[in-house]
This record gives sequence, structure tokens and C-alpha cells, in this order.
Amino acid sequence: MKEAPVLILGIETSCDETAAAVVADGRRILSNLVSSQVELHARYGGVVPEIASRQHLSLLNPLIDDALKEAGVQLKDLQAIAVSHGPGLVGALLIGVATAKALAYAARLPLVSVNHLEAHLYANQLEGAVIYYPAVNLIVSGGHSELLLIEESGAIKSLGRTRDDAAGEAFDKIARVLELGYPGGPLIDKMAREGNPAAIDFPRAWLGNDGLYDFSFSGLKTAVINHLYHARRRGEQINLPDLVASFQEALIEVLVEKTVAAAGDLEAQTVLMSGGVAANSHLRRRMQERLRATLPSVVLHYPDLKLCTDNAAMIAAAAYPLYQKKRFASLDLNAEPGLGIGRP
Amino acid sequence: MRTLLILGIDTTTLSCSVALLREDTLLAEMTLNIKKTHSERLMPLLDRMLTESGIEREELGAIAASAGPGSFTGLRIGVSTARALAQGLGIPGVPVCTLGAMAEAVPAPGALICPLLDARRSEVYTALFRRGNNEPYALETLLEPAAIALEDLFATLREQYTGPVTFTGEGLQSCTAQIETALPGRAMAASAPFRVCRAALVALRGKSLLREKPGASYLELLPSYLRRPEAERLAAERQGGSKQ
Ligand SMILES: [Zn+2]
Repeated sequence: MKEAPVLILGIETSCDETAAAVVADGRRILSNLVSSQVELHARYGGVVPEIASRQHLSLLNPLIDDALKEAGVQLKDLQAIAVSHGPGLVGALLIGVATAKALAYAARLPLVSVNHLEAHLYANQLEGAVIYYPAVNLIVSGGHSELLLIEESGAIKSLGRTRDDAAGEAFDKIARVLELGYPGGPLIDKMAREGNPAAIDFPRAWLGNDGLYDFSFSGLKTAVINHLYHARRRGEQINLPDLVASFQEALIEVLVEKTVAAAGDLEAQTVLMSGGVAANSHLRRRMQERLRATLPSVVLHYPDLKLCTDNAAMIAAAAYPLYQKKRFASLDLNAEPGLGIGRP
Repeated sequence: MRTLLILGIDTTTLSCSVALLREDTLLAEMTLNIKKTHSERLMPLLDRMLTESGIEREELGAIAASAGPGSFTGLRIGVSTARALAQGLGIPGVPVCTLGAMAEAVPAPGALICPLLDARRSEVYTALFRRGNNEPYALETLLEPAAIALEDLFATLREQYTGPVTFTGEGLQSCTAQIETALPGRAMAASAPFRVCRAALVALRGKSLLREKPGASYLELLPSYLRRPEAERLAAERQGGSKQ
């Protein structure tokens, strides 16, 4: 007889997406619902924490009901409830944490707390990808730009991270300066297709030997703003697509080169990309090209667009190995806005 | 028919409080009035109270949570917890006004009761209640909860109401002298331990709300912030300014 699948309800509220999902055995998505607040925050040019917290509170419970219904299960059919308790916005995280704790308590289910950042890479497994270790994971989102080494399933180490802006933040800021709209990533991705990426030679921050796998995007951001300022002062016509394509090229070249270097140095078998910026078409193409050219045996995985951005299926997937090891959270679980890599 | 067992929750101010009320009997109440994260304290406190009372969580019949006004983060922890408990247990849930619950602590018939909570930006969260003179000595709301300047509250109390006013609430501590000056001879203060927000009083008010709406869905258990998010307020101000 086949063993009954392990059903985990995932809850995600770390930023501006309220999400709930039911996943079987950490791989098979039974439901995956996201209630995005993007439009609500768009008029402010970024996420407003107080507004996000208020939205999470009213959206989350009905969303959980819907996720259970879509999966065709009831609370009592679940084996565990999982929640991301950090990193993220503290007020936003608290809604998910309080809800998950109370729901698990009411239904007498074990509670699993998940690191949101680490959960992103589990999005790849939801697509059925088999990951060969060691693997290098590039996480690029609005809040994070980080390179991770995964020696084996569940053993994660940070290789490097951004020293200032996250890649997604840089996209948003440049989009704001150019008055393109919010969120900036998809808009820039689209516009850059019309432009020449070699038109302007913006600086790349390689950071030398003591920052081999670290990132820095604030210099690039300043360079773009200065370029714009001087061009305007000289009364020059600005070719927006060229400008945007050159900015994106400079940012992505650094992401790609550092990831490929890490994969080579650490003899990785797999390269994973995750986070909202992993949806960028130029990044996907460039990463594939560079790996094929320099490390042809390395397999590249990146999740479907829908699983790149914040979702709860990845939370439930990341909770599965922890559930198997019986690593349960207690009732005093708190939100950890500054949670780092390597701590569950 | 079994009597309704109500769980009360209050995390809107400094105090973290849970209580069990069956009809008019307070079975248990646990209150911590110390500077500690509600997020870490609330669920262990609830679990401890149920264990000590020999009550299983499945026996709970309804949940009443203090929904504000108060600290935004604090009230959200209590309300989120209450919503998820009600959702998971499949029982009704009702939001209770923090200020109304605080007024329940003042027993004097006929008295004007004015709870105060610090709302920052030189304002207080306040409301005005009068307790009935006869059985069941119910509270009547004279001024709806609002965030207003103390001076405006004093002016209203001077111009529209006579007789003694009993002040209560955490917000009282920082303005006792101002009250004395503004309402000479009329102001009384609840003694300090009675100013603490308590879940027993939340459950008590929840009980009367549940009598009116027995099947109240937890989906309507939502916070009463009384204030818009700062970013929204500033945006509205900017917009108003640019129109002129
Ligand atoms: Zn994320």
C-alpha cells in the first residue's frame, strides 16, 4: 500500500504578498494562492509596512480557507502548518506567525517555522527539478541579493550578499527615478528589450578578493542618476530604452559572473535562481549562456514566473524536510525580521 | 444546553491578558503587565491557562478579542490570534472595544467614565461612558471612541457634561496633573491596578455582543485602529494641498 502523503499548509506574509498553499510531500502543489497588494502600494512607490500589515490581517484567514478548499482538504487532514518567520517586515511577519501558531494550536498540529530566504530555493523542487549537490543558489529579490551554497538538502551556507541595495531595490529605484512605475523589475525588463545594452558603459562593482561573492549596486544606481542629470542639464535627448538596457546589463553581468564563478570555484553540479528578479528574462538568458560556455555540465534551474515571487507553496516545501526531522517550533515563536541564512 | 465558555484576549496595550468566562463566572485570568513581546507571550499564556483550568481548547465556545484602539502591532497580534483560533476551532469570534472593556472596571452607578490611552502625536484614544443607575448597570456610550487632543476632551467635558468623571487607563499616568487643572473638583482616578487592560473585561463585553449576534463570524473580527496609516494620511494631505 502506498503511504499517505504528508500535507503541509504554508503561510507567507513577510512583505506585500499574502499567501497560503497546500503542498504534498514538499513537491506536489495542491493549491497555491497569492493575494498581492502590489497595486495598493504602487501609489507610494514601495511597500508601506503599516498598510501591508493591515492587509495581511484581513486577507489571510479567508485565503487559508480558500487554499484548503482548492486542495480538497480540511484542517484535520493536514500533518503540519508552516510559516515564514523571517526575514522580512516585522509587522507583516507577525500576522503570519500569530495566525500559524493559533491555527496549529486550535487544530492540534505541529508548527514548522521556515526561513523565507531559504524557502525561495525550494520553489525549484515544486517544479519537479532534481537538484544535484553541491548547488549554488542565487537569490535575487526586492529585499535580498545573496549567493548560497547548498552542500546537501537542508545544509545551506551563505557565500556572499549585497552590501547595500538588493537587485530588486535597484530596479525599483531606477524605475522610480525614470518615472516608469512600480514594481520596476518587469517594466525595466520589458523596456530594455528595445534598447542597446552596450550604449552606456555603467560601472560594475566587482569588489575584489575580499568581496568575491558579495554584491553592491548603489554605485551603479548613482551612476545612472548622474548620467541622467548631466544629460538633462546639457539638454540632450535621453534614449530611455538604451539607458534602461545599459543599466540592466551592468547589474545582470555582475549577478551572472559572480554566480558562475562561485559554481566553478565550489564545483557545483547545479545552479539555482530564485526570488522575484529571477523572473527577469535577460538574467535567465545570460545565466544559461554563460554556464553553457564555461561550465557545460552544470544544470541551471529557475522556477516558473509564478513561483519566483513570494508564495506559500515554497514555504510548505521548505518545511517538509524540517517536518521529517521533527524540527517543530514552539508557541513562543516570534517574527525575526533580520533572520540570516543557516538558521531554520 | 451547555453554558457558553468565552475566551477573552487583550494585547492592545502593555498588558498581555487572557481569560475564561463561563456565564458570570470568571474561571481563570492570566495577565502579564511587563514589557515583553506579546507575540512570544500570548500563546504560551493561553496554553498555560487552559492547562491549569483543566479545560480542553475544543471546549471553548466563542472568542472575544480587544480590537483597539491601542498599539497597532499589539492589537494585531491579539486579533490575528483570535481570528485563527476561531477559524481552527470553528467557533464565533467578536471584536471588543478596548476602551469599553476598560470602562467595565469602574463599577459606580451613574458615573461618567473616561478611559485614556496614549495615542502619541499629542493625542489620546478616548471615549465617554455612563454606567446605568439601575440593574443591570449597563454602560451607555456618550462619546464614541476617537483619537483627540486632551484639551478638546476637557472642553467637551466642561461644556456638555456635569458631575464627576472617573478616568482610567494606561494613558492616565502622564496627564494626572493636567486633568486636575482642567476639571477642578470633578476628576477621579481609578486606582492603578484597575487601569490595566484585562481580558476578563473583554470577555464580559464579548458576552453581551454574542447575545446580540450569537453566530458572529471571526471574519468580522477586525481591528479598530481609529487612525489611518501615516503614509495614507500624508498622501491625502499632499493631494489636498496641491488642489488649492
Ligand atoms: Zn521573497
